[in-house]
Amino acid sequence: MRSLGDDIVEVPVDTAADAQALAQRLRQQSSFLQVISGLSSVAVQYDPLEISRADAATIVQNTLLSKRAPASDVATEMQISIHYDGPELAAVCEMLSLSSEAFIEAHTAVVHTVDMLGFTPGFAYLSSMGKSYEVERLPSPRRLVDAGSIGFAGGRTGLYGLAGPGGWPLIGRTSGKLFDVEAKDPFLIQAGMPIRFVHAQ
Amino acid sequence: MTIRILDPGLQTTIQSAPRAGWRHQGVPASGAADPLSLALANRLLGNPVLAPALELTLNGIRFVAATQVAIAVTGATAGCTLNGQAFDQHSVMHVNVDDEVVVGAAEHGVRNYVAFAGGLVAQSFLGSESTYMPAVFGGHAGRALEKDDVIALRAPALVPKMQTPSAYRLPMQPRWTLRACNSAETELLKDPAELFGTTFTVSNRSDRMGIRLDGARLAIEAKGGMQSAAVFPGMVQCPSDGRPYLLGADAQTTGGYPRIAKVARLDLHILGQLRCGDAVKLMFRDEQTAADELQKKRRYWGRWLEDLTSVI
Repeated sequence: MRSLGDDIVEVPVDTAADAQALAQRLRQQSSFLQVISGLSSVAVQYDPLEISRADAATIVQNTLLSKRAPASDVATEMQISIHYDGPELAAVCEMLSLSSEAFIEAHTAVVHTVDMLGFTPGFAYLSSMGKSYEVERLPSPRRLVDAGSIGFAGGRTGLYGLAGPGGWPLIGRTSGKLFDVEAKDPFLIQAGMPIRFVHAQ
Repeated sequence: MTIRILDPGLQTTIQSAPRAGWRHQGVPASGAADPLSLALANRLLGNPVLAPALELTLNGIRFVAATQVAIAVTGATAGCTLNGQAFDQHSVMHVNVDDEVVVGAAEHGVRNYVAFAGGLVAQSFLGSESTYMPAVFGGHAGRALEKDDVIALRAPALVPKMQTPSAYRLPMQPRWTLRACNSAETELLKDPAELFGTTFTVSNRSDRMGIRLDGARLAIEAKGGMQSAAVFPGMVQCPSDGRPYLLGADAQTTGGYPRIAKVARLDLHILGQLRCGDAVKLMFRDEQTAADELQKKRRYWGRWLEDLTSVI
């Protein structure tokens, strides 16, 4: 357990899936103002005059140790149609020594998992494709990336739900709305969701 | 029951309470950058402490009323006029139909709050009426106000003339001290005394998302493979270039840079008034001291303001 400030503690966990499971259980208890899962940690924010730091840490620790509830409904696989026409697709393929056909085949063959939501509304970090697919982020971020852009860095795929600055090399885009203010549920994507990309020709 | 914007200034948005409990979906807090000043404006008019109001940035606003309404202006020090006649901040002003209200450029501080008796009409999204411009939601069509925008007011309540007691007027100044605690990666700093105690300058890269601090470049150990983790308003991140970045109300929810400090809850409202060129010092506090000071501050302000839990 580590302190992030006067009103936040964070606990390290092994995997993104562990972080999501712990965060979900903590959210159900409604002891905290915010419960956020990182890629390998969970942070909780509280009002220090309502809960002491020691109590906050104890609640998190006990929840971590408590018997894990049986997995709730298994998330159904979501398919996202992707146009592989990003400005860095060629550069990414070159770094990986793959033809674009081979990269697209590999990228559409695996089931990706949403490891984390964050940064801005609708941004999703999808699980790593493994060490052999690691590429660097851009040396300096773009000022503006369009909503629906799909990035690829560190073996991860990143989905941009919103237009804004971004540092991931872009491999493509989807015309689907990842974040929709008008929708009843504005978040198309949830943490833990399995995702398969479909090549839009 | 409306007002019409004649000149929106640099950036005027409708801000209210923070958007609570959605950070895990990537949704930032938003809300007034200086919630204490917003609360002071609402207090004068008998509104709920964080009722939606106008948040002005640096160079004020000009609007005309189409209805009788009482208003109050708080926050940065700035000259205010009603039909050309100067009036005081921190006091209830009765505005009549066709009256023109001007809030001038901020002299010290950055943001002014203009509240209306009864409150104004704003779009609520995920439990808050605060504007978050990057995702275009909340407030007035999710964006900054533009010339000729018409803002609807709720039924204006009748309120007596009143002023904020001088003991509850926040001092605006070009030098600030922020009490701050260690954060998760403070130990990556080669010398924490470089952070706590050095005077930094607020850079021109400052907005509702965050504030870059100029001055000393901090020596920070590179830590390979830091995993993206939660960040919060008030957190100080430090990229490898050693230039600390202070996260604001609209800050992103996760980040991959070392988190080297966090401004204590009780001083977060000051972030909304840090102005390019201002001097800022972080003063170290352990968590218990910060909590004790928060209790004292809530007790003090609780004599004038009602519900402080989302304010400080």
